[in-house]
Amino acid sequence: MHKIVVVIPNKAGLHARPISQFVEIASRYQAPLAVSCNGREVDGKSILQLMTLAAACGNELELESDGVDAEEMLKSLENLIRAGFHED
Amino acid sequence: MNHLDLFKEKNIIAELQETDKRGVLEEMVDYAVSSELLAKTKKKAVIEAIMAREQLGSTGLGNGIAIPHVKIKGFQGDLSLVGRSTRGVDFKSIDGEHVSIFFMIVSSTEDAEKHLSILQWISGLARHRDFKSFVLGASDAKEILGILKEIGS
Repeated sequence: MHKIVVVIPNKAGLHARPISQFVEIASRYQAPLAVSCNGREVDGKSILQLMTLAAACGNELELESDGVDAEEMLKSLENLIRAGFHED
Repeated sequence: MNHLDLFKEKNIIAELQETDKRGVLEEMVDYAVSSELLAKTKKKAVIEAIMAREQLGSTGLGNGIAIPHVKIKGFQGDLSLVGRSTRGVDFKSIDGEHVSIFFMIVSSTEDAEKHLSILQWISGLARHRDFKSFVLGASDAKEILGILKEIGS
């Protein structure tokens, strides 16, 4: 099982556009993805489920995955989040 | 934060006529102007901002729901509309499905938390098993509002 924790750095947080970018990357990989924020866990490949998190700037996202390309996927997603979804 | 407060019967368009993306977005903004929810002088800026946002990526998120929205610096108040299209609109949604329910939100740039909270509320509605079928089966704006209140609270 692979897990990473990343703080959301951009002002607007995890709104529609970042979520779309996130899912666009996540869906390229086979490994399943669980995303948790403030104690709630959702399917990280579902836009609507991610939206229910209302994850804001400063919140921690926990990403968990297992399988063939899990590590690669988590790395790509971590890069995206750390880049603040290319916003601010 | 009660999101239901954003929606009264007059914020709901029970039957959208246009069947293409730009058409339906303009129709919603035109409705806002004629219902005095939006000043006529703001119409052009709002439409351009909404279209620009769609260029970045379709707000058709799947399940037949779209959330065209913009934050406009200095915008006074909130403009919130719900629109239903029983015909369905090709919105280039992420799942390829036509959109039947639109949530249009225009607000000022300031409150990120409020915006995230509205998205959270809308996604909760969208994920509700019966939301779409209930809305499509409603006879008028008043009934649609009733559904929002029942499922959305």
